[in-house]
Amino acid sequence: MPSRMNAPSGTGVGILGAGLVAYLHLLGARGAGMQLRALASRGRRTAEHRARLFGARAYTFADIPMIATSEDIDIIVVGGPNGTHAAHVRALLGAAKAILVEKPLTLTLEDADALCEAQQRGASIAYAENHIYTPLIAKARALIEAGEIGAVRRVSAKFTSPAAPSGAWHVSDEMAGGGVMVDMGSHLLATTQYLLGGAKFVAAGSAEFEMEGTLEIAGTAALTTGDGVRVDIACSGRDPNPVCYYDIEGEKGVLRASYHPEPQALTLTKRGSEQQIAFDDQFSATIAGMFRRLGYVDQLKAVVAAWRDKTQPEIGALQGRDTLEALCAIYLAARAGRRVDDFASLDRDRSPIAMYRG
Amino acid sequence: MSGALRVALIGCGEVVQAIHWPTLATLGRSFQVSVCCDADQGVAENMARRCGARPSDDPFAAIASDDVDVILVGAPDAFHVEYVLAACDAGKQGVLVEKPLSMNARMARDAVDGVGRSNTAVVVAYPHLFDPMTERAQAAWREAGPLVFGKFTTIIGPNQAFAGDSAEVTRATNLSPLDIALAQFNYAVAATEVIGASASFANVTSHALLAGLTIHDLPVMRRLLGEPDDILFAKNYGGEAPPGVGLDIILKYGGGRMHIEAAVIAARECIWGLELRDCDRSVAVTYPTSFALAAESVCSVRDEHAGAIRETQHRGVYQTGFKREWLHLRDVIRNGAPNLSTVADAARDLELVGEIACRLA
Repeated sequence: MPSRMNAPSGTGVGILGAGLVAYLHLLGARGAGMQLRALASRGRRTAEHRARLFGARAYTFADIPMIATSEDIDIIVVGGPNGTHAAHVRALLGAAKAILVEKPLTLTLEDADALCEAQQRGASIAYAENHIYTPLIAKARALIEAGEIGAVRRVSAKFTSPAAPSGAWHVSDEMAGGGVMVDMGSHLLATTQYLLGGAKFVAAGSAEFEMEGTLEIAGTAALTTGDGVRVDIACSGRDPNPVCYYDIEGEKGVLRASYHPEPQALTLTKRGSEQQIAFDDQFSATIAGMFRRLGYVDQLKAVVAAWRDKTQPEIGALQGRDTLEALCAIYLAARAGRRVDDFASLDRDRSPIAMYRG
Repeated sequence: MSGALRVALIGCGEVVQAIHWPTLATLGRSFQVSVCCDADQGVAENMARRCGARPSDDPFAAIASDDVDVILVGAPDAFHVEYVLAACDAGKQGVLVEKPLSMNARMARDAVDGVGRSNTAVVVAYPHLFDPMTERAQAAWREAGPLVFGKFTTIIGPNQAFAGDSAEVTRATNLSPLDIALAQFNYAVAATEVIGASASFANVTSHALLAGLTIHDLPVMRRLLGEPDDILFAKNYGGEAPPGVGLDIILKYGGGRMHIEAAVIAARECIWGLELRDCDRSVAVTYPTSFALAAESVCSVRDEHAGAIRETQHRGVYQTGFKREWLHLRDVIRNGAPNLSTVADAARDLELVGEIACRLA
């Protein structure tokens, strides 16, 4: 009996990278009705193992040109180690396919600048901040834009996990570019900017890291947007009860968007009264519903739709560069022990962790 | 060809520690463990000490080793096919691969193609298929008429509740939260390919239950009765554990019906067997409890004729299906015996798993 996913029709997806990110995008693709066609990893054995599990063709990173020219692939997710993103995107630029780049966009602002220029020349480069594509965050932004909490004064966001990633590249300066602040802080930064209608960060300070091994296992930072909103972020890779939430404080009330743990929740507190706000797929007990809730389904749909319409994705290389810029400022602030507010003078050729090392 | 066949244990989890190693220890003239390989180095080293073998942290190197003739694939399900194919590529004499052959039929078919091109004997390890009373039941059922009603019951407690009675199990200590999460995702990946992404969590769990537990029954059912005509009913239910841990399935065999019930329960209990009835004969088998190394299964045959009832009970054989599957592998390798549990058979079992899972959805 044929499986329900065997039909060779519909949008074709290629994924570069075979770690957790590959699983997330695969299940997001299935939820979006798309078909994984190719999977690439550094090593042949890992690629073949995952590709067999996922029902895709196996490639190594050396085969990226073959993936780029595959006629049955429409969108390629760049999800390998952080330090490979820039090179992998460059290898895909001539392919006229939709490119979705996992965070961080690149490890240096110089590489990010190059991708922004490529996007401005017409390449379809999207930045994979999945939180932005969740029904939770979409609803939260709609409420903020409708003035439910008035002018936003402050955002507090937190993202923790029970353990930091332990794979070999995750602990390498050259491949990871940083620890939990890059891994989880990037989500908080990009999503906060989105919630605030695309606000730009103009200053980073009060940044503190706890180091474990060579990279930071926990970190906090305070940033300021151009509109004067204070944004406090906190990340940790050793929380036995992991959480992820965004508290948006306005003049008239507070909105908490709780992304993790399940069940997700959106809570509006005004005049001392708390109201739970419903959103799509909030309690869906299906795989597609879960991955829609995580943002992976609508992210792929939006990126493919933009590519087909020959428009730029809403969250693209420019937004990815903004996030990287804020990260670089945070790492520099953590090292210098002072506020950093001249983002234009940040070194363009150093990764966030290199900013910290000095 | 003489001398013991040298065995590489690829994956040394509780089933290997508590069942296969003690079983091999009773077959020392036929099998000798030469390599123990596990993702957890401590588990591999502990197992190697017990077996008098050398430890390895590289399954492909272990499979290809010159001091290995036969592979036991006891690693997680997601790795079964690649280790089987590696053994075939390395020209090994044989493989015993734990059930299920893989996580869904598509993956299993990769093994069918690869094994078919090799000279390696690959036996899929289904202890109930090799159980002595299954053989007795098959002989008794051959004389029976068409099926009127049949039932397979598989209701068991968690493996950990039983494994410790057979061996002192050394568990992996190097599993990260990410490793555990990816293992869970593997089930979602395998299931959503078959039943679609709109599958509920309960149905994903049920797919795993079908592929992991009910899979014990399916090859026995197909051996005794052939292929079912249709799947009439399939439903999962919750209970003592997360959603989807119990299953009721009704299959059509001509005018007869086969009921498969399966559940994982919290209690340390094992209710495991089958029953087949035509109009005047019933054949039933009760299997031994999980992880029993030397235990009898019982086959009861009841005939009613001209008002008289005759009941015969067959028992007293303490050789379990676990031992008999190793003996069968040896017979296939040494004596060219026909393989009673091929990868093609196992792929068909997984196709049936998929068909039942789709019926749930």
